[in-house]
Amino acid sequence: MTRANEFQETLDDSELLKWLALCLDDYFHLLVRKYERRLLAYAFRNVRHWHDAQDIVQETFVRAYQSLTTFPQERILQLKLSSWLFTITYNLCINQLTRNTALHDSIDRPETRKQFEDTAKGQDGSPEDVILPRQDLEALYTLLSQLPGDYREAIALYYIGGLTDAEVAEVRAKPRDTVKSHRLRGVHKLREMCSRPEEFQAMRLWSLQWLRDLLEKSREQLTTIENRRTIS
Amino acid sequence: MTQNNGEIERRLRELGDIPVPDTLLRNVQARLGQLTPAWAERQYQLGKQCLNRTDENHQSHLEMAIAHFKNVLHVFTPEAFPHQHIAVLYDLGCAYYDLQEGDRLANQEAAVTCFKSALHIVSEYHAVSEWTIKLEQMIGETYRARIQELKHRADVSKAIGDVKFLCHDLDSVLDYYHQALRLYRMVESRLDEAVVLKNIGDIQQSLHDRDSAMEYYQQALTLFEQMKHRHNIATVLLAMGDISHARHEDALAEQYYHQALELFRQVGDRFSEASVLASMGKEVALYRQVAEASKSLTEGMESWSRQGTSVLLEQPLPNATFSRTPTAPTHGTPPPDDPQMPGLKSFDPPTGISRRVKLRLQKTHTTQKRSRKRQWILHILLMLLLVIVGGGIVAQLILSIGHPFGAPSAGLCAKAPIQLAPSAHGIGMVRTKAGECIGISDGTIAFDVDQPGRIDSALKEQAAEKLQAGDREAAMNLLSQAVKQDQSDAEARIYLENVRVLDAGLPYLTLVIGTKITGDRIDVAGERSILQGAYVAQQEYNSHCLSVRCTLVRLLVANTGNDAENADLVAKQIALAAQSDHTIVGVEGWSTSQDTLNAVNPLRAAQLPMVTPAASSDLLTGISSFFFRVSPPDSSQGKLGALYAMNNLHAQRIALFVDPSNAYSESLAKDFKECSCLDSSRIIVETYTVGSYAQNKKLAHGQLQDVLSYHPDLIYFAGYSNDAGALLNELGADKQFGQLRVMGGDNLYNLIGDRSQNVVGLNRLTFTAFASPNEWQYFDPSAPEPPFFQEYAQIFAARGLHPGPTNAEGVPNGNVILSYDTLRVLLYASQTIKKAPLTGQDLRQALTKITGQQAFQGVSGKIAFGRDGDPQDKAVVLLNVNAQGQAKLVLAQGTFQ
Repeated sequence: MTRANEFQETLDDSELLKWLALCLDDYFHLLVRKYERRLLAYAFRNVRHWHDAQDIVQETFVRAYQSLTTFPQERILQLKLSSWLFTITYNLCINQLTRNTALHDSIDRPETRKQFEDTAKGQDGSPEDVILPRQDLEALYTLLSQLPGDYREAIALYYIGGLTDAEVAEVRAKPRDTVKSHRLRGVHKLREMCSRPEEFQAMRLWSLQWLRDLLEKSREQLTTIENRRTIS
Repeated sequence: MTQNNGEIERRLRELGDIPVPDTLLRNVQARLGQLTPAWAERQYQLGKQCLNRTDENHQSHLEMAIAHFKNVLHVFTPEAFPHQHIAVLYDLGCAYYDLQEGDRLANQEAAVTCFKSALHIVSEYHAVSEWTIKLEQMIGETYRARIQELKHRADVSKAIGDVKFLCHDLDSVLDYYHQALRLYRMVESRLDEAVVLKNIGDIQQSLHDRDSAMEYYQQALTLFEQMKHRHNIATVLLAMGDISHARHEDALAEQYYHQALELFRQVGDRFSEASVLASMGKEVALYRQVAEASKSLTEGMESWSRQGTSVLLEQPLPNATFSRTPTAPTHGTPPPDDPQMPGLKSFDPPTGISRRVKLRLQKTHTTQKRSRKRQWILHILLMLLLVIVGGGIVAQLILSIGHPFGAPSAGLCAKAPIQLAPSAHGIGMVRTKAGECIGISDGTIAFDVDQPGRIDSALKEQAAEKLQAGDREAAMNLLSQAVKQDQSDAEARIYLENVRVLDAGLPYLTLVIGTKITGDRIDVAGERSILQGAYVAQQEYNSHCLSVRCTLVRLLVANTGNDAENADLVAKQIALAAQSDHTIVGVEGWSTSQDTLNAVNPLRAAQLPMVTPAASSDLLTGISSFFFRVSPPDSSQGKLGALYAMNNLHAQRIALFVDPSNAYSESLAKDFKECSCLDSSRIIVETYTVGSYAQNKKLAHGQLQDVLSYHPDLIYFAGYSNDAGALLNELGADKQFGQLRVMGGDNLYNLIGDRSQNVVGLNRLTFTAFASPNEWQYFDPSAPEPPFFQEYAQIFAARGLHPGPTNAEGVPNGNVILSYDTLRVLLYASQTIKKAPLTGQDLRQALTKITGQQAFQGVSGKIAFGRDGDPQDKAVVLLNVNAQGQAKLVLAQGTFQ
């Protein structure tokens, strides 16, 4: 990450809104730079597909821009930027998951893990396109997917998205204390899961196996494509 | 993955740390139809504007410029717009080149990449040849800056290594020296490389790894020989001789010693010559040499006295290895630029050498069984030598000060540089153009030495000298004596506690206390209160830190002196210090608004949070995301004062004293005057200059007479206690206005118990404040008082003997309480952070979380920071002074618990 990106990520929302209110076209890139990483991480956690996550984040920014062009200056200055953007992303993720019902179910329910696995393997794109976090982190994604939906969302928005509890409450349209309680309980549950090493190890091995399978499958696909090219 | 508390959260946060493809922004811009040449041209112009803005936010503008220029490159590609692309890359490179924020090396690398890419396009597209010259010039410039940066980092590593050696932390010394060595080699600074090699050799020898030491000495010797540095060559040869001697390779040792001796004679270094002779066990020769050395030194002293210090200071240092003679005590000897011995820069420090000679002789005595008589003679000679040296130092001091009994601090101040050397890394004393001595002290400078009432100044200054020389044990003894002599001296107590912190060997964090403790226009009592409050918090926190995992707290004292504009410079010093000392994570200060205003920007740029105990100007509200304060803004105290003036004092004709150029005075006066409860048409305004009444009593008298001709029934003094004291004294002399009341803001609290001003008629005083020792009793008589009050009384029990900041025996005033709360809130925030090492940014984040339900209960009331850095609805009190000169709380407003 460059210094300029760091600068934009640390830019105050209030300052950013002043720039946007001054001239949207001149300074919209600052908004993109400030939020792209957090939104992308959040979207990726939800849809678990790198290209889809990127599309969703792009769409979030396009919609945000379109809305901002219609807002009067006063309204822009009063915006709660982070919760607004995460709400757009959240809704786009829901839409995406609704389109891929099977994928959505698989994330929520561990019993449909196999289904999720198959779907993930079946997605287009090479393995390099799929973000490969460190192995432990991948296991953590998996553990996270086993939590109840409210807990999972509160954790994802807070830790991955970097929102405050108050902002999470706005995105989820729930009281602040409720989302905070969901988050803390979720973390507690995760800690419990990790305290059972045999289960965690199994989960980790499973996720590693899943990655290996994914890579193997992709290699096979690439070989097939190259073979076809050679033949043609 | 473990189940440690906080580990899960940390790993979850890592899920958010993912790479973002560069294409994302470009795709969004393409979908919005922004990527047109016109838009790019506009972005370029915006970038140029930012690049050329050189105001105080220059660094932020540069970062913004970089963002704009990067946008332009999305459109002005080298294929379609080669000329524009080159121009943008050039400007982008320049922005990176100027950017000081973040990792300078990374910025410089980015700059070089831009310039090189542009150069590549120039050659590829045969663009205008002037670009080639400009770009090559900038590449050269950037490389030069890069070398300077690397050299600077190497110097820092070496300096840290030197300090670590003084702390006997030999393992980390080697790490730092090797780091310095690697960097010196990168920049091909061969002299520095050789010096570090010699130092590493010394360390290895201290660790009894003679083979390794010999290898490093050999490398150093080769380099010094290539550079023909005779003195350094001799020093290394002497060290090699010592190793050979220890290995019982007498012939080889003799050979090294002879070579060293010859070279020392050539360069005229008689002391080192004597030292070598001692090593060779040639006592007779040694006696003669020492006598000659004494003679030479006496001549040197005479010459020195004739010429003054400056000439001798200009004598070049032969090299930095002088004090590093090869045996173990070498690093313990005073450094060659010891301020006490400026004239001896071209010699080895005599005290070190005498000790060394003594050691040598003792060894010789044991091994060769010399006669007792000869040893006595030698000792007498050495004593004579020390007397001569000591006399020389006294003579030098007399000459430099120009007065046989001149204050030592005045002498130190006169010698202070106008700019700190880079090697000082922000710590040290600087002399301003106005001749003020300001700066930051870690105990190596004593600031509070010339003000009235301080009786332990000499001891503090001696302790500072010992600390400069790295003698912590002696410093600790002197500081212990100082605090016994003057129990109210918090500065001495802080330095003493700091020495204990360093000796404890535990991790610690460092906070800086911003004060104004020197000068003739400052509020001495108020500033001493700030230091007292800070010390109580430091002592309390450290005394509760019992486990080995505990983090202690060290305090640095920053002094801005008379002039508030100095705060900018001192804040930059703090920023510099924080760059090399990563334990510095925050600042408590200042107690005055004007200084605080001036310090805000440098501290924000350095990402160091500042929490001020008593700066209350409205101008400070929301001034920076790194700014917080424990005291509410003046709007709350001005309004409370106005309400009391109207409803309780029924004031009809009010005279308002204000200094419109001072942030605190102006803000307080405005808030008082603009209260809707007062008829502003019946207020007359008298302008004055902050500090002027304290200095010029006639001025105070004249202006007061003007005001009294208006027959006011209340004076509202929007200013500081030293001026208010002068005004009260003038008013006391006027019997016609014996009943006239004087009101003011929180700073007037410092008048209570301050016997240095001998203020008369204090009982006519009413003032608002942000803290009072009576608050607990006032708000909840059943609640137990915090232990702070008892701690304060125990520590500063005998302050009644000397001018102090209390209004009764053992009772702290408002500034003490606020300063205590300020440091406590900083420490509380630091404890909520689970990561290590702690940074200023982490501390800022933690401070922002002290809000609402997570409020901190201070002694002065409930502290919950708002988004603007102000405490939310914090209690403000109003106090009346009784006939005994005690301040009694009569009214309060806001939330206390």
